[in-house]
Amino acid sequence: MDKEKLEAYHVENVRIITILLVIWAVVSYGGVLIAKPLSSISFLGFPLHYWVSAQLSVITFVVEIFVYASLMNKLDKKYGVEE
Amino acid sequence: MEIMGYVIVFGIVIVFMAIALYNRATAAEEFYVAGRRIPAFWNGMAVAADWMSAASFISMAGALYALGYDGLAYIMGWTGGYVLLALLIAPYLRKFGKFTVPDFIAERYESNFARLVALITAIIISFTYMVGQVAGVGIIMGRLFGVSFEIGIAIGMIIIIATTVIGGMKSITWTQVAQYIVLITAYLLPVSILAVQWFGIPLPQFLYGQVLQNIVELETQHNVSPHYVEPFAKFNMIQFLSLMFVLMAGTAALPHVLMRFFTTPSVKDARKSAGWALFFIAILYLTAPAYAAFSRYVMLKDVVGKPIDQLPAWAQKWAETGLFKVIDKNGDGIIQWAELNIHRDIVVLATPEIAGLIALVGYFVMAGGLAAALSTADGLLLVIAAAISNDLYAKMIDPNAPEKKVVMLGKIAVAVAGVIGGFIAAQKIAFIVQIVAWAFSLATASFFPALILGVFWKRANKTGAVTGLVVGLVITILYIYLNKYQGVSILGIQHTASGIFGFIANLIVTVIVSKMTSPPSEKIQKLVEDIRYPKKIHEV
Repeated sequence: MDKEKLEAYHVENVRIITILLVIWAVVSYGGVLIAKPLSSISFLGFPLHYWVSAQLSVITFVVEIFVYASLMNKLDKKYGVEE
Repeated sequence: MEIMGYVIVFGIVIVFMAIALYNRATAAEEFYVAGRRIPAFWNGMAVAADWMSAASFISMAGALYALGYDGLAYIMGWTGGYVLLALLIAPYLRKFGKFTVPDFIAERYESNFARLVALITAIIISFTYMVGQVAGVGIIMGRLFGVSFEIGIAIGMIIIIATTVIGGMKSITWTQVAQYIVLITAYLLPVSILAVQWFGIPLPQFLYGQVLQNIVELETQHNVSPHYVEPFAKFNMIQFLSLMFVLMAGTAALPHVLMRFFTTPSVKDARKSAGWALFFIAILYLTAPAYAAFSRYVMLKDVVGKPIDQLPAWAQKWAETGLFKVIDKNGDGIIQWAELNIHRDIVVLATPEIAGLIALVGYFVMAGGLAAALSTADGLLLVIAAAISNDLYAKMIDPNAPEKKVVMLGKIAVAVAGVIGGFIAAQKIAFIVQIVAWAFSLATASFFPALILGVFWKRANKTGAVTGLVVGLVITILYIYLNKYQGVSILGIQHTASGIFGFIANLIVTVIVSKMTSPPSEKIQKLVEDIRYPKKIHEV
């Protein structure tokens, strides 16, 4: 198989991973960093900092993995490297 | 205990055993990786049961009750790790396609010494973690049937060993699927009914925000400080962030979880399976804070500020077990918040009675805890058996050993490790509980960098990785010792998050030493390229 094409697939994969990990870090680590200022805001009945850490982050993690799986399925097909 | 309680617990255990018996295995591919035929959805469910231990089921909500906002480091840590696992590790290990994590480390770094370090670390982590599960089984059995702790352990150990010996990964997988269904139903049932009683809707996960506000109001009224939702009241922000990172990285690199991803039919399934795994785990982890909030609210509303001789009925019942203690320190006959002494486990275990449910529900909850402990112990026992039979014996001692012999040795290892684990659990050694808390730090400092660099950095070589592994483990153990026993602390980081130092050290050492020494062989460079693609690219 064409070496350049394989390299391009890897570069795209790493880009997807980087974007998803930035989101991952923002909802978890970012949410903790600004927990104090967020704690005075109320959201859906929750103190916002508690909601971000207990729910938003966990739900984001689940969605991110399914998004990654689906993006990679498309990428596999685009480059013809699927099993 | 009522006859119906026995029927429920025995019935459930018999179902688990029947499933195991139906899935016998003698071939290595079946014993270690269930023939690589487990669909993504079902593997996700099995991972969830494998992952969620007796502690997740029974004690986590109690920890949240005590820690408030700071306890969420555990919730995010133990779920966020699956993102790392799904994006950085699991699909590549699946493509690599052997049986164990030490297999990958040894082949990637062309070193049997690396295999030895990896398999010893895997055994230490898995064994201590397993002892914790077995102790959990002993406690639950004791509460259910009134048998002694030791007899409870013996019964539990027989079930665990039998499930694993019969068909290895193949029998474990389908038993874990059944165990997940039992444990998640048992977990959701009482708290959902409580939510219906309070709000008319069975969705405690989305309704406890109002309860958090009520808690703060009652806490202000009773002079409880710091408030439940106040951030960084129990530990500082740096400890929170470090602990969360260690829990995430450790989760992504724990051998018993990763091994389950070798069982999917393809790379595509491994990716999707991680999504299902976290979905099934998130159901419990989104519910645990609701349990904690509901209990905290009930304590503040029905117990604190009330006369000591007017405890609610459920509190009187749990006072008999010693898990719920009230001592009227100032002798005024009124219960203060500071006079309550509550065991963690009561938050989940007492909820059925707080909601006024029939005793049967209480037994079912305990059966759920039992399922959580058994399913995790099965997976851990298999890692130990695979480390001894596949990595130590078949790959290092006798590479020409016939497959049948290796699998037989694996089954013997299951039985021996199980029996030793049972005996150690029966000693109630406090140190074991401690090591379990350090398992995530050890995995973060050893496996995590070795796996990530092994997958994404072609240049990482044997000398770099082996030095990194050893330095990472030594630094972590050293910091645990200095912090826990000598009171030394850097930036307020506690021993529970010591892996952060070992991780950084491992990463730096591996990179520098790899750069200073020659690149890995052509064959390994091709292997690293090959695992990037679901399809076979190179012959390796």
